[in-house]
Amino acid sequence: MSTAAAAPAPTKRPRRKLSRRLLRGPGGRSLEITKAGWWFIALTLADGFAAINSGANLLHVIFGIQLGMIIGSGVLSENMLRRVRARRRYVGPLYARTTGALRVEIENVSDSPALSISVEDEDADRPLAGRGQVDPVFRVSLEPKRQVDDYAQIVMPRRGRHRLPIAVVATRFPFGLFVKRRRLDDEREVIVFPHVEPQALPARRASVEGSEHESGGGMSRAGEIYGLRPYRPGDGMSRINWRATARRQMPIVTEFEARGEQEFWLDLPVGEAGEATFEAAIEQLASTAVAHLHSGEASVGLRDGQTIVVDVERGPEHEHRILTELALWGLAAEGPQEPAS
Amino acid sequence: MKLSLDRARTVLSVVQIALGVLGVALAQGTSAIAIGVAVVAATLALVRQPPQRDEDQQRRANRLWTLLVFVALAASVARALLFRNILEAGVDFVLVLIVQRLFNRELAREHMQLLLLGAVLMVIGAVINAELSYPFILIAYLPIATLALVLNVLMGEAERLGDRVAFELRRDGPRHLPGLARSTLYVALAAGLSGIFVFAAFPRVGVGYFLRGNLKGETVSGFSDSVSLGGFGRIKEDATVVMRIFPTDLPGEIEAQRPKRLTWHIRGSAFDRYRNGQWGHSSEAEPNDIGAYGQGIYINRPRRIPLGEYEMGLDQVRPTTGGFAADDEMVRGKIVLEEIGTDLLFAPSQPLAVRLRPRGAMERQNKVATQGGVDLQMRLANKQPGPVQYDFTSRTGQPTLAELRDFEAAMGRAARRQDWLGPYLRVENMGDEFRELARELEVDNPGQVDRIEAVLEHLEGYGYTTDLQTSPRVEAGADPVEGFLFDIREGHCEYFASSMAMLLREMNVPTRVVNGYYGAHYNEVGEFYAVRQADAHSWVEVWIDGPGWVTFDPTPPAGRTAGDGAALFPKLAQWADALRNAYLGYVIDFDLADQTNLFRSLGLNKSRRAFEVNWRGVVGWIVGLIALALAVRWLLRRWREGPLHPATVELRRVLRALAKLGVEPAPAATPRDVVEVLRPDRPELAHAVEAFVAAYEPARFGPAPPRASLDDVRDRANHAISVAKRSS
Repeated sequence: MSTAAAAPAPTKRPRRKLSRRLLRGPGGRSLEITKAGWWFIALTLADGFAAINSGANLLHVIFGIQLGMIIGSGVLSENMLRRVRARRRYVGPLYARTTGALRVEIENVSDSPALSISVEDEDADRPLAGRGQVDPVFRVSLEPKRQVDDYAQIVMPRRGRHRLPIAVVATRFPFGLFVKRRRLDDEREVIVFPHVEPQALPARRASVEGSEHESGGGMSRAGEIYGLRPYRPGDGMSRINWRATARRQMPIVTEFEARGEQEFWLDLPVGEAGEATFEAAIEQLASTAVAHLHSGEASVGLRDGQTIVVDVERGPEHEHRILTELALWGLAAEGPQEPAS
Repeated sequence: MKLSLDRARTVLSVVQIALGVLGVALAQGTSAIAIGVAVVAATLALVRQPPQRDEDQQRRANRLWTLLVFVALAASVARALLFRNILEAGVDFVLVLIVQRLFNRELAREHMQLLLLGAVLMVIGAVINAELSYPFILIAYLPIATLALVLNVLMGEAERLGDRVAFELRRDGPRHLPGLARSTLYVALAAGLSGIFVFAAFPRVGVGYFLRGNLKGETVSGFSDSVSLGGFGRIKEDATVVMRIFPTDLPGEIEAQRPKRLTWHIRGSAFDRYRNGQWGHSSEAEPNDIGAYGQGIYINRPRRIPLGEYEMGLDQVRPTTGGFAADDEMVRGKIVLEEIGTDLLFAPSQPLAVRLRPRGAMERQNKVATQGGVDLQMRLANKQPGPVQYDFTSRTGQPTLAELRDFEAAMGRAARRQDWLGPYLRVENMGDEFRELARELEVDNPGQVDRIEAVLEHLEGYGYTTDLQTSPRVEAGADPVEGFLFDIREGHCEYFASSMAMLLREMNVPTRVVNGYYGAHYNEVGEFYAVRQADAHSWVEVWIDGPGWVTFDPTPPAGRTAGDGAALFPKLAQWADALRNAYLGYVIDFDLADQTNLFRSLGLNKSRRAFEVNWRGVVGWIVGLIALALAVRWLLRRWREGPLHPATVELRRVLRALAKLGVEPAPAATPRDVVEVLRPDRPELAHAVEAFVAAYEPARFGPAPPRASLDDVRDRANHAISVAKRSS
């Protein structure tokens, strides 16, 4: 079992390079002059100065070639970006501090090959604490009218609702003098579940460490119908009795008799998001819940004191519901939990 | 085995560096020793296994390299300051940096620095290398450096993006190499066109702090202030063109014949003092009288020669009298003199006037020296490095021996006693045998002209060779002329000329030795006369009272033209030289006037206030350029698609014939579908096409077809096409 990781404090992001800040275009485009690019430009200017000063014809030729390479570099890199459409889609749930997967779809929509294309985080060289990092994906060449799917790893540092790192399709083709980037418009929020450690469960337990309570009888399910009661937040949608709901004009759920399995109520901790002990408790609850649910012999619910937050239930959907609740517990209700960039 | 991207990058980086070094080295921008050391060090850097070092060891190694670079930098600065050898010091420092980078090439950053150093060398080459070799080097350099840059970008991405990308690059990279090379070629082509465009269109407003051509040319022996006998023998195999003559006003018979070989003595340096095998200038040598007449015209007025009045202007320079029949035989023209390490100006026979024709800011700084010159030598004051272009007027006519005798009879012996002729009569350190020979030759020859004839006749018995030997007499300290006259009895032009000059002096006939070139070779391609290193020659000028200095050449005729076979492939040499001449004219010397003419020919004309456009001309050029671009695009596509299978060519012919009948098969239709389309309405044509398809399919899609099968396909295609024509 892991100790709960203290969420790293948001750090201020270093400033982007001047050229990249200045050379921004519509549609999330940016142009960055690399170090080699600055050297090349300096050499070109020196050559141009010498050519103008001397009138030496061969220097004019070299100057023209260098200018052509600079212009050609810009045109070609723009061309490469235009040829490519890319998307990043996350595959499966994301857990804090655990490697997850993103599917990266890169499509060449043109009639010519797309060369030296990467899909990467916009600020891979200066990641923002809390946003996580996605492995870059690179293609030397992508055939015309062809799509390839690749997979990239992602690690999100903290639970909560987060935006994925801003993705760009980028190229340094052909000469590495410039980096041209175009933002992908698939930026969206994801919910990052708490970090989960595998746990070995005792065969049968009466209760667990004060925050976990086993119960039976009244709140059972999956056996014979026990009765009806009004819907409470946390009840699963599958338990809504639609006929009774329609009759009484209020949401009504069905309760079942116990069928012999264990039910666990997990008490949500009290504290402030970001505190080490609070985060550790959340992760402990998440690990326990997942272990019970994966055992297939228990139902798990969440409660905050006497308030049921998520009713006991089982199954993958319920696991998702439990983890979602734990991911957001103690955090602001709206918007991504991350420092402003 | 496929070439990995990393290895390809290294190879290309090294090749582009080598091309940069070559471009500089061919212009003598660095020494052979420096290049040799750099090549050895670079080879070592390339073949050695990179040592496994821990962090501390690496840090120490880096410090050592940094120290080496600083030492090299300090040495270069000191060399530049102390020896005024800025160029070589700079280039050698770049070579040190290259070696340092080669030893430490690990990351893309180091390779990028190698590429930038290669670019720096190419820029230096552009400044100092005015030879035709440079554009060829540039043409090779451009795609190689471009591909190296592209590969370096890919390798840099692998470093930046991590092991996974590095693995993918190693795995997939070689497969993409041909495609990358093709893309690179397009980029290099575009960059090259951009270079040509800037070259043609960028306004020339140079103020001239940089140089036009070679910073220093290869010095040709024989044209410095002091020359030793033997120098010319070594360059008789050198076919390098040192001078181009564009005659504009030739004597009638020469103009009519345009002979392949001119026989002028193209005068350069002249010497009055001879001592121990060495010619030089004494302080008493005859001073020149050169007058500057504005517009770059300089008149060379030989003293004490009755050439009559001169008029202003190069074309008007015409001696009114010479006193002999050929005294008005003149030649005019233009000379482009390559940088041969001398400030002398060369011109045929007796140079009378020159006018400098500068082609740039640097050349405009050249002036003809009007002070301090001797022996009719014309020199440039403040000579700038690089070739020189000038017009010349020379008198090529010479008096005959009979006319000289008449002069001698008319003038008597008085002039020979003039004091100023003293240096031209001085004989030093010659032995008794030499004096005895002179006495033998002057017996029965009381007159000057008789003595000249006697010496010429005597020297006819000597052989011509460039393979010089040293006689024991000379090894013992005797003069080389004595070794030639009495022991070896063979030598080249310098020995003949020196022997004649000294024998005549011993007989009280004033002489001086002149070095220059003998004649020129007509270049039919470039329509000019080329003078080669191998044409270097030495002859004698003898003072005759009356006409003055008269040229005599004691070297056997075979010896004068001994360098004619220097070019191994004469026709090829002609083309190469014509090409070089055109390159100098249209590229190196392209100036604002050329630029203006170019724009005018394109239909763009700048009048005083307005910019006039001749749309007919401009549109013509634009249409032509578009047509050219389309043609290039078509060729590139063909190149990308590769050659068509011969059977496919035949299928396309048949389909074109069917298209004329209005039969347009669907894009995905097979040849057999086409047959089915034809069968209902044109059964005969369908049958012919079916027969063609029956031969086409195995030839196209089966194993490599034999020649007979392809012939069969062609025959059946021809038959189908003829049936199609009939049915139309």
